[in-house]
Amino acid sequence: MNKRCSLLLATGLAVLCAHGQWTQLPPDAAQDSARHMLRIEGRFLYNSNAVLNELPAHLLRGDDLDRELRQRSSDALAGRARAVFGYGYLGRVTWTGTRLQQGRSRWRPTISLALQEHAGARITPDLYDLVFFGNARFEGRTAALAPAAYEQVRYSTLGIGVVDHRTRSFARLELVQGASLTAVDVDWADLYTGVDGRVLRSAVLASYLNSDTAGSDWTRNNGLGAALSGRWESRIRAAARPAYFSVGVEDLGFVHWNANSVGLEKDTVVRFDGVAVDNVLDLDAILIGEEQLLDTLGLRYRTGARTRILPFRAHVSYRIDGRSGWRFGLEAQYQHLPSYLPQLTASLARRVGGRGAWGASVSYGGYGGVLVGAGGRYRVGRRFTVEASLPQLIGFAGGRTRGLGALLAVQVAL
Amino acid sequence: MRKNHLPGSLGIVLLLTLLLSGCRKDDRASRWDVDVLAPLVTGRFTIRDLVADSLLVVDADGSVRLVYESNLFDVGLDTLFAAPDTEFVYSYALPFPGPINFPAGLQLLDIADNSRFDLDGVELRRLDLREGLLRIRTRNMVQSALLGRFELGGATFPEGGNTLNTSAGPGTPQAPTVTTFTRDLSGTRLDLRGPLFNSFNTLSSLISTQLDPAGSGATITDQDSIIITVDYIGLVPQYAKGSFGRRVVEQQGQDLPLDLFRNIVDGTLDLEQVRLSLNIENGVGMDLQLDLQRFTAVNSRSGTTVDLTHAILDGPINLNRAIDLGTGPQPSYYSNELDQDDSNIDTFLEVLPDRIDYDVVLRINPLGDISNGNDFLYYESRLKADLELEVPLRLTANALTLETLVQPDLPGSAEGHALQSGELTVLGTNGFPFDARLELALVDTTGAVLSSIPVSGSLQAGILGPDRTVVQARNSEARATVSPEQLDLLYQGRQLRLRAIFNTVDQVEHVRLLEHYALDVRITARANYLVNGDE
Repeated sequence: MNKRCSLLLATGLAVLCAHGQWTQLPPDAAQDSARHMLRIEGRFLYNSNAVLNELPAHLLRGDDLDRELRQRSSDALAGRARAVFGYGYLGRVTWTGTRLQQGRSRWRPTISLALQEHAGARITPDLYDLVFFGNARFEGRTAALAPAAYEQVRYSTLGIGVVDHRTRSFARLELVQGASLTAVDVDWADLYTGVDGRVLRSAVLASYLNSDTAGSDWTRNNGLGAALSGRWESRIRAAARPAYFSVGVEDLGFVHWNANSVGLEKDTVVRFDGVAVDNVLDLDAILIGEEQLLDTLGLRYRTGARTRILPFRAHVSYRIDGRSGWRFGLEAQYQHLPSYLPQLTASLARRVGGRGAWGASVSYGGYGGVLVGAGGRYRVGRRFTVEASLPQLIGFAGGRTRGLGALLAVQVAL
Repeated sequence: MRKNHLPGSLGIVLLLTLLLSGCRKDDRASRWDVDVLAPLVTGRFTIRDLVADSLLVVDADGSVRLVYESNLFDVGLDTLFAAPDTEFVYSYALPFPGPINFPAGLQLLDIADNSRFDLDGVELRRLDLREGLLRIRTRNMVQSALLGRFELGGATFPEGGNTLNTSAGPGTPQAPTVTTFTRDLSGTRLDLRGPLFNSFNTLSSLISTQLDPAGSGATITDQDSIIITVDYIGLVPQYAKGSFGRRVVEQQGQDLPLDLFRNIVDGTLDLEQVRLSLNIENGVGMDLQLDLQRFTAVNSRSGTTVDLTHAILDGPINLNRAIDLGTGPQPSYYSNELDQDDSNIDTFLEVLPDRIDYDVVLRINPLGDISNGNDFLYYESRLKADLELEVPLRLTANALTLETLVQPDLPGSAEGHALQSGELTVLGTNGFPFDARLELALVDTTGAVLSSIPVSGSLQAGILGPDRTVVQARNSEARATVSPEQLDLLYQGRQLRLRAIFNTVDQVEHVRLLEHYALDVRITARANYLVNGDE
């Protein structure tokens, strides 16, 4: 996790992503015409429909979680059928070369290297309370723990492809190295806690999958795969003002996780009255070790290779270039993660002089509610451009808000 | 044991807890406390958990008797008789300077000897050997090979015969030749009455040596000699007959460990009936007299002692000799039974002894050799005394306290542990006619109490019917609250002392314990647990 956190800081450089909840800014034609371009970009986003930012912030920092803090998110969850949350971060370096066929073609070669992690979860309020407060508060009743799901994928990609220098449409074939995967899918689960803890009773229908548990850092090669990324944009000629329609996909592919991956499927109804002992005076038997616990929980995994689709992102967008450098954009995005709702983002942006641009966005969907963001870009000289975007400005107002993210990038024209 | 599984939902919760606590700074993960409520242990406590199955006898009406057998002493062959290793030496040397030329085949040595074994007051006429070795070592300084003949007049080897032939190579005074011959005497029968059959411990033998007839003779001076050493080693009798003498074997300060009450540390027990049998078997062909001088119950924990009083301790016990069947002994037996009417055996036992101290004197042939040398002993002969204690479990118990010490293998360490505090609830369905009160304490290695864990409630006795047996079990519960400080002590390696204090529901009349009585116990925990607290 330290590396994850370090990466977040190191990728404090981000480039404006052309899709998603990030503010869409007008292109900088002066720089786009450079023969070679190098972009270093990074982004991260956390969002939830219920869990307040202070909870993941404390988890990220390793701070202790006091009861009041946990209770605030519990209160926010009360009355909801479910809570969803997710996060993702990405660092990418992209090189774009000169136009092919000695400058006569519209296509430019591109190579891109990216490290990224995406995660999403859906839990019930009872599951939240069970995790953060224990089962004692469910004494004499049943906690509903499903439906619930969690998926986290960490991987790196090396892609090669071509970019249309006019529309910025592109196609890129990615080689994927899988670092880690965790996937939990709970179709059905409940837990009854008897009065005084006399009995625990549960019904479970769930599956669990994890990549090689020997390690999960970026240097680990726990799986290999392939993916396709691309974007296609077309101008709508019938419109009064220049209008464009685009569709795109990122990391549409798979990883074949190696044979050291572990999996578990449970479809069972169980009752636990305590460990049966031959002699109740022999209290040494009360506390059991980790190995016994694994046996008792039935958590002995089966190992074997598995293939799983990546958490790809897809988007459809529409934009209109208005007068005086104004641009209006509308976009719908989907990410292949548990309970991710399609997210709609509306952006309004404007050029500022010949070097800059700024804009604002409003998003709804994904893992949270409404996000209000802003972004800007400024070119220093002919070669360097710095861009930034914050998709949830309210998230910086304090821990008792929901959603937080940032995009930072440096682009160099060579 | 019944197979149990914790609900899989807990696995999901554990998993999500780990996932959610995955973000951390440095090496520290976020921590938060949760209140966990779960059953820990379920079990059934019966009389068989208190007393080993092998000690219990169940009568037809379900009543239970405790029958405990133990060996008081067992005197065997090694105490009654021992044949020491014995050595005899024979030699030859020229009585004048010489030299003299001796022809081949000349007999140099011809000794008829009656070897006498020193057997410490025992006068044996016959000895059959189970084990033993005869070793003949010849040291030859004569320049000719020697041929020896060793005839044991009173012996019969298992294959028949009684003669051994040996040989030794030529030697010189400067470089003697030493030759060793060994014969296994297992199964050999020795007649120790001597050549005239009127003695004891005496074995007649004839030792002769001649120069090798096939050699060329030898020139001998007074410097040349022949030394023959005969050793009887490791003799173990299979059968011995004779007079074993009049002897006294004293066994003072003997102790007999008694583990019947090892878990009981306090309280009193009143038994309605106790019977103790002393059974002695004499497999020795000698008249014996056993004097049981002291028989004391000792409770080491309380320091309490009670001397047994009974006629058996007032005078000696005469034991008839066994009968020699030719193939083995037919033992004689002695038995005496003590009970609460003719002794204080009930008081003796009610001190809950962990050992019995006793002094015993054994007199062999107290009236002398009245068998006229016909005492006998087989290898299998034993003089042994067994105790058989029988206690019908009809009793009253007053604060009878069972104790067990536990050092649980807790997750985490003294520096960091997830368990913060908790409450143990003991839910009982008690079918015994006892109330059971629990005491929990943390103790150091010397047993000193460092902290007492308060316990509220008790497990109440079952309901007695008109026949004073339990007709209905009763549900009740006890709760023990463990503070964070007490958990810290437990993590520092202190032991948890559990005491269960029993009181019969009726302190006046004895109550009967039936085999089917049981206490069903379920222990649950309500613990405050710190997630990531073990790190």
